[in-house]
Amino acid sequence: MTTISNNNNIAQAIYLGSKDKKGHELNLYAKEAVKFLNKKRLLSKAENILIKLKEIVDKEEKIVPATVASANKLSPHAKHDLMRILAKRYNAKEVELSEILDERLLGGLKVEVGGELIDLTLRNRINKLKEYLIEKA
Amino acid sequence: MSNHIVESLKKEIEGFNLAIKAEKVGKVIEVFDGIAKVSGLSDIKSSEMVTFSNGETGVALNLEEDTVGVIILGDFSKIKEGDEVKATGKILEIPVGDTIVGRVVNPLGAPIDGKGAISAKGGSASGGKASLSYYPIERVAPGVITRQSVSEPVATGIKVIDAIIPIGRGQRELIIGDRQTGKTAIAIDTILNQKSQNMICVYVSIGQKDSKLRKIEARLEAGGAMAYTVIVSAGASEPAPLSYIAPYAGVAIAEYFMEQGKDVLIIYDDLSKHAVAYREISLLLRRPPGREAFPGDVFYLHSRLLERACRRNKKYGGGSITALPIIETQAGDISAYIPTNVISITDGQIFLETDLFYKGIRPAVNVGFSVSRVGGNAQIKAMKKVAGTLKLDLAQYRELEAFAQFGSDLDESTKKQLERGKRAVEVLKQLQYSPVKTEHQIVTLHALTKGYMDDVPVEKIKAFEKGLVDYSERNAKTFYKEIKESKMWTDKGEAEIKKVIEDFKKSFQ
Repeated sequence: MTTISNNNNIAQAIYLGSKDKKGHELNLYAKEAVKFLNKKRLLSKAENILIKLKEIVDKEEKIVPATVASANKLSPHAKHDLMRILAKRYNAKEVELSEILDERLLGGLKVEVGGELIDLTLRNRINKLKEYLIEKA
Repeated sequence: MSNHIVESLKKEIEGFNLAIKAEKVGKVIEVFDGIAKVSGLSDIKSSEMVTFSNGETGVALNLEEDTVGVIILGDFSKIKEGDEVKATGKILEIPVGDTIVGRVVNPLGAPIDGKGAISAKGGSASGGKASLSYYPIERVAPGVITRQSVSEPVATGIKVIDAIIPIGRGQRELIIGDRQTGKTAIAIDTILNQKSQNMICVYVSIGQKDSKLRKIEARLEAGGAMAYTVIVSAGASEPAPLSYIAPYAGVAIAEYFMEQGKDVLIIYDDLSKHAVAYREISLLLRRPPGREAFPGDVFYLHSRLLERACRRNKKYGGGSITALPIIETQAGDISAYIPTNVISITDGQIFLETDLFYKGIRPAVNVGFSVSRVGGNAQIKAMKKVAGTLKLDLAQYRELEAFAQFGSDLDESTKKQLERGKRAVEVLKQLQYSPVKTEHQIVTLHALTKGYMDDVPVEKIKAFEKGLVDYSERNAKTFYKEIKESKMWTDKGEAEIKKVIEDFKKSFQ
């Protein structure tokens, strides 16, 4: 008997099953998938499976989710530029940008994409300068 | 003055150039008992250093599919769920430099003796050119090509060790015994005896009480030994991850000095507590427990550490690391898991016994169970000559001692051997913090093994020994000179020492 080892495998299986389905067929498939999870007592893991499923879909469709944190609201122009740069850097068709406002950053912005962080904030520069000066002393 | 500060600060700020780079980050999912589970950090290496947002450092030990198990080196109480964790791309390393000698540092290389920051030699507060080197705490041991066999002695100043269980530079000799049998005392005496022996000492204290460490430091300071000693301390009150990395940090410091061609003596006090700290970390990281709940790689934990002790050949810069690991046994059980592991890794062991300790035989070394597998080659010729028969005397004494209890109907030669044995045991007794010079040891042991002490009453042996050493120092100059220069005496020296001993005996009452 095969065992269902982890959320990643389940999410992968669900994705492959749903790949060519649309409309009513997809709804039916979703129902069946939930029934299956219930039968295998995996509904408690549903949240993690959905996160994994989203990651797989994003990867397949070349969608890159990105979080941008800044001290002030970004202008539409800056946002547009940022998305263009990110799309190029991560070879993405689409960039899903979620914005966070954080006054503690003082200025500039920091972008996080899939576990990678590019920190261009003033706070980071000040912290780095602090480390540099302490190290020098 | 203030103008100068502003100017130099300006200069420094101008010299500051922040490179923009993408960093790998993760988030803390849970944190407990010095361990953090972190999501993200997908490209992290095993043993890679990470930094938490509050400045604490960690090391990634468990790399799982979605999470990373990190040990936190420091205060974990301020780290909370959701905190950012950055990968550094580097294996954990500590700052080392010549100025670290004489200091007490924690396993991350930060000073804890209240004597200020450790700056590089020639460096200044305003940023001199010299800077401390950074040494990784985990490193592959030197290969066989770079090594040389052990041939130079480490003079411990302890008669029983130097004569019967000699230690060579580059050797790994285990000190094993129950609690309160004088394990640390042997280690400290050895450090004290390294004065002007061209040796740097590193004392790694693992999970010891701070009061004990303070005492040791004061004792080393008083004996002038801190001038060539570094203490690395992970105290009992500190979390297990610090105890776990302490010996590796110690050996990294030792390697720094070895690479300058120096001889280094490193003491791990003690590896039982180190194994316990590693067990704690492993169980918290949910690694499967094995025998005595230790994880499967506990052998590798100590073998990779002790393998870094070595003697390098001239072509590869020379220098050596001599390791004296200490293991505490429970009720004399040397067949427990950790003791057997470390016995099999090391090049011999000094076995200390409670019974001997309470009989007043101190250092309480059980000569029968103790062995030095490579040290014999390092012993100087003169010592080898006097110690050869001593070992025999003691072995015969131990054998006959049991029979002697049944009665006095013993033949003359047996009686003689018993008397010799009693005197040998008496000669090998030694007070703590009183190391004996090699040449003095040779004179005493020579007098013993040649039978000059056979008619001296046992209770007067100590006085005889002291008197003989003082007397011979004044009157056997050729003998001493020969030993110092050629490590062996000639017929001329032998004749002189024979006369000196006989003369002294006449005057001794």
